[in-house]
Amino acid sequence: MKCEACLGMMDELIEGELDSSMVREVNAHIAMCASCSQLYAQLRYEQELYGNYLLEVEPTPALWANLRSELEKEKVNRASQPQFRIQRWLALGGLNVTPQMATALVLITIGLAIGIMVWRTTIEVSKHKAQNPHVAVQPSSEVNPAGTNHDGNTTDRQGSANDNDRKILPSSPKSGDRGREIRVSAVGRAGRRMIDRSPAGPTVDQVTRRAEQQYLSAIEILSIDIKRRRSVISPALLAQLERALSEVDRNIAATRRVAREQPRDPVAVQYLALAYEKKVELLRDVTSW
Amino acid sequence: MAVNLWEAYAGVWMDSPKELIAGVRRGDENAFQLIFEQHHRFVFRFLYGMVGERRLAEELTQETFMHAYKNIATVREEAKLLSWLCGIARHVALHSLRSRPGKNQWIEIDDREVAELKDAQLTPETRMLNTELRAVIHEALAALDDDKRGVFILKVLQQMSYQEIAAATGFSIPKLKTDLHRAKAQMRRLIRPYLEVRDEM
Repeated sequence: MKCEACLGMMDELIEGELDSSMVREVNAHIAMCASCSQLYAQLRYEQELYGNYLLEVEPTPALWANLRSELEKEKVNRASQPQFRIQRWLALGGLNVTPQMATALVLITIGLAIGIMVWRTTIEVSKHKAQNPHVAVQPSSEVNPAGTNHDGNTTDRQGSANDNDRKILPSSPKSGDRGREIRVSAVGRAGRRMIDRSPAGPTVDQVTRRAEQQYLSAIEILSIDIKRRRSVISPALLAQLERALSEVDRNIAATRRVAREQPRDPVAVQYLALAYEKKVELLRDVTSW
Repeated sequence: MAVNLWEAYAGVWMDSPKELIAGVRRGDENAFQLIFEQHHRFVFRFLYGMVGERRLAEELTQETFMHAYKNIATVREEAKLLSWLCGIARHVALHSLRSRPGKNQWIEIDDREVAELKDAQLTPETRMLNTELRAVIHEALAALDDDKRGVFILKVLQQMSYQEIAAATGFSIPKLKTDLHRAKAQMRRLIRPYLEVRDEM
């Protein structure tokens, strides 16, 4: 080995980053070369000085006692927070529910909700057909003035109303209003009661909204976690997070609009679920940093 | 108390941090105390190197372990527990440094008493030289920028591997090597006179 190569590896030798065969080679050269040997001794001494600098500093023995008292305060604080009360409630015999597990549970719930929703939609339509052989049920484009929405959004309200309104077309010549469309929202209150009564469980829209609520709960848990950790997240990462969140929120708004307009379309609802899932994933990635 | 604790957890201690982390996740405070016992000196010294003040380093060590306790569920690779703790400590230190009014505060040396106690067995000349040298290293460290100081402390002063430092900082290994090379050159320029004195002695 030449001096030049040896000098290039001396730092790595001291840092312990060389593999054993190179260590042998470099050491062999140092043992034979006076100038390299002198430089190596100097570097080792320098390393020793640096090493001593920190070794001489010892933390106070009271550090654990101080930390312990802070931990006690944290426990009391945790016990008073709703998400930790829920976590404890879910713990049931030592099962520790982390934010990741909570998210996974929510995702499973969403999957089940979508499955149930599709199943219920099929049952609902067939029940209507069985109970009203003279009436065909199909979605209406008319707005229900009584339609309401959880966030008060105008577009959502329209979509929500569309889901519950049904345009009933008489298919039998015995019907009193032959050849005329009866709109449930305007005229057929009895018909609406029938539709509301016949499926004993929640409507498609209700199931979708419940699923949304589950996602929003997961997002809230993760957002609280991120809020707590803001101080240790770099400003650059926070800026990236903000940008990504606004993009995801735009997607959620768009898919929600489509899902409201076409509540019977499982693909539209799945896209909405996917958009929420993206947000949950994004927040989870930041919290697991 | 400490002995009993060590005895009680001897098996766990011999195995891996995985069991300890699982213990903390179950709410076992003793498991967390063992993690603290294993790593607090390392974390404290790193923080001392970063901020240059003993009292502040202790506060930040406490803050680091509080963060660790609250977020223990997020540890992905239990084997890299020390890197994870150093990552938290680094963020805590950077946050503290950025929130402080002036950088000059950093170069205050407040641990002379301890250094002098440790030097009690040395000759007066060597002791004086050591004290002076500590002050020079202290100032030289303060002059490094945050990234270079972090890698210099973890690599040169605490002998972590590049992989571990990369896991703690999120930097690539080539960046770490470049920063370290520059940090060493800067440090050498300042402590060279003391290396020459040693050669003369």
